[in-house]
Amino acid sequence: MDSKSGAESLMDFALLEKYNIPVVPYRFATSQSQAMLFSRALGFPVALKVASTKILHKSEQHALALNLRDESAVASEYSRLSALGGKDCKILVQKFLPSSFELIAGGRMDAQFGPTIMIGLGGIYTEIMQDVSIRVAPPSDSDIRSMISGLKAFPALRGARGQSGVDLTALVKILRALSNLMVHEHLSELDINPLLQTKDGLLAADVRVLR
Amino acid sequence: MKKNTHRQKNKIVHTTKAKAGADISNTQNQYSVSGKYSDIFSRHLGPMRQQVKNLHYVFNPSSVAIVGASKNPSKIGHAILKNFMQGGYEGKLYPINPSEKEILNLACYPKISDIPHKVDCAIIAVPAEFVYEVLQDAIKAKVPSSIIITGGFSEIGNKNEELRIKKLADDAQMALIGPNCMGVLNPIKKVDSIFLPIYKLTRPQAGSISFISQSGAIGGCIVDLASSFGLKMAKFVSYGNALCINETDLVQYLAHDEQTKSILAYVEGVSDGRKFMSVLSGVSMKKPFAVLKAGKTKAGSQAALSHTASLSGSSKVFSAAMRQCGAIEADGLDDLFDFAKIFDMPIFFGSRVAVLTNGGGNGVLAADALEQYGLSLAQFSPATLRSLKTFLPKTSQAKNPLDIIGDATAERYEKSLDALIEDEGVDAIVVIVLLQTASLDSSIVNVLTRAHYKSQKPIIVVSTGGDYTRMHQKMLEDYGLPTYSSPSTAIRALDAARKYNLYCHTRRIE
Repeated sequence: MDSKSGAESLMDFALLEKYNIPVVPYRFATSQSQAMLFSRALGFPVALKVASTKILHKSEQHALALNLRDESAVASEYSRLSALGGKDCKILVQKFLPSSFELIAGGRMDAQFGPTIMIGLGGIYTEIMQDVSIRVAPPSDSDIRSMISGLKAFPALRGARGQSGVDLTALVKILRALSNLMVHEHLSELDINPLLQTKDGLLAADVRVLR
Repeated sequence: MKKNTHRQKNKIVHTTKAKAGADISNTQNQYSVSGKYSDIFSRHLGPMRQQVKNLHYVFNPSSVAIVGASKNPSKIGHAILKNFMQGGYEGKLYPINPSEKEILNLACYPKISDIPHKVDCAIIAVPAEFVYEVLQDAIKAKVPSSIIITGGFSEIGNKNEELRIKKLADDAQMALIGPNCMGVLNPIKKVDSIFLPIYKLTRPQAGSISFISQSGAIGGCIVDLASSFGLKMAKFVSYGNALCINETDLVQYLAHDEQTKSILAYVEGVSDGRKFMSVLSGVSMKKPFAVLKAGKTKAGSQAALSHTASLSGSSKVFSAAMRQCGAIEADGLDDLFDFAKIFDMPIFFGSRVAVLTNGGGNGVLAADALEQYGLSLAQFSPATLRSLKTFLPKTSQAKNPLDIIGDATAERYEKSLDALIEDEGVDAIVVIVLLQTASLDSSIVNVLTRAHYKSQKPIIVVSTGGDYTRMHQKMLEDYGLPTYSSPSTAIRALDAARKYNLYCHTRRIE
């Protein structure tokens, strides 16, 4: 399936880094040998993703390969994904970090209220549960706090029943940065999906930017 | 008389507060704090432009010209003139119609500039093609405000004519309401441009709630319902196409209006969301603002590319925006009226609610609703429990919800209320009164009213039932007690009031 509108979006990790939003270590590879080189540099296991502008639901279309443990796995998955992505398609090589929690974060330019930011429960239930909180940017600190605590999943984010939750301090920082980004970049849409809680912290694992 | 008592009560509340404040904070200068608050208020509200200030003449005209007045009772121009006269408007009225000498015994003029006196407001109800000319004449006669009732402009694609009119009014800084609207109602000054006959659409009494409505049809329903619910209004305005004066301008004006204590709004869209938010965050520091937004279900972004866009549609953004500036969002007209009742209440912050009832089941429903809205059942103090035990029958348990059982009399209610009012662990009281029981009569109204005036914490009443109950609900509301038909609606409104209190009293002083 192509993107719903067919418009082009960018996998612009550099933009997130510019606004100090932490991202999973990554490289863009244009050849199999490069992918293998980057994998070694990042350290195994790694994940590969098609950096196509037109693929929205990567997991549904098998446009990604997770938890690749050695170079031969990277080599064979690279061939498969680059065939799927078509000519001139870059392949994203990322460190594969197991996550304990999946969130979705983003922003949208609203016709009436201007830049807005969003945080929600990520993963396969995102669209089913629609558990999201929105604020018009820039939100005050208390707006950000109420935005997070307003999620139905908030008790789980805080850590429930022996499960560790999400680094809430980091989440507040990310939302503040996201607000900054939305205010200054005038994007029409931005999607950080997923935003993962890993042992290395809360990191953006994928991003789509629509100017 | 009744009003005076209420004012006195408010005064008492305020003085005791001020005293308490002074005792606690000897070193702090209280006035500097309130000074900073008012700075925030005015910074967010921004300066009112002259055109908005001129709304004064729309709401308080000492003379009104009705352009398009007619002898024909089926004409809108006739209905407006007649409503002004029947409503008891005390200012001067000038019907305008070139083909009449007098209408309803009032001298009629061919055009506004022919009137030898000053005119504060021109109400225009002539066909769309004549509006520009009439307005030119009104501006020539230095009329500072106007209401264009006439439709047939941008709403049917006639955008150019509307823009010509806008240019004219903006240049003259005329406060222009409409076009395509019902105009204004000010029950205090008996100003009434609503063209629906009084016998079909009753007008509310003068009070402190102001209402703005984009839609004329909804506006009519609001006015009619408000008067039937006994809500007392300061100002009402249906602003139609919002050509020169939009929702933001009206809210800004009403924020400064001394007679308006709370503002309710029905909007379909907002022309400048950011400005609206900025003004609202200023207003919310001073008076509550509740809004009903139409068109919530319209799928905002079906062609969206990202998850974010599909998850954050425009209606969700509107809700978030309202929340961020302390506005209260209603889900329907009923909701809006439920909120309207609750604002004229002592301020409270705590979540501990006492439920007093003469029916067990209704108490349980109230307890459920409390939990749903994140409020809690208060724990009664030992002193309260001791005092309750002195008069409650053996079959009634002294715990919250306090079920004083089916044979409760007005006297038992009174004693129970006294105990709950005294209890410092109780922040608000929900009184459920099932009037169907044999032991209750109309004297319960007096008991509740007395408690309401005596108490410095909010008391709201829930009374479920048919005609007999409804009659008593109305009596209670006339005495200023917020009264609801179900525990859940009552507690939802209570929660909205608390959230509002928390918003405007806990905001950091910048």
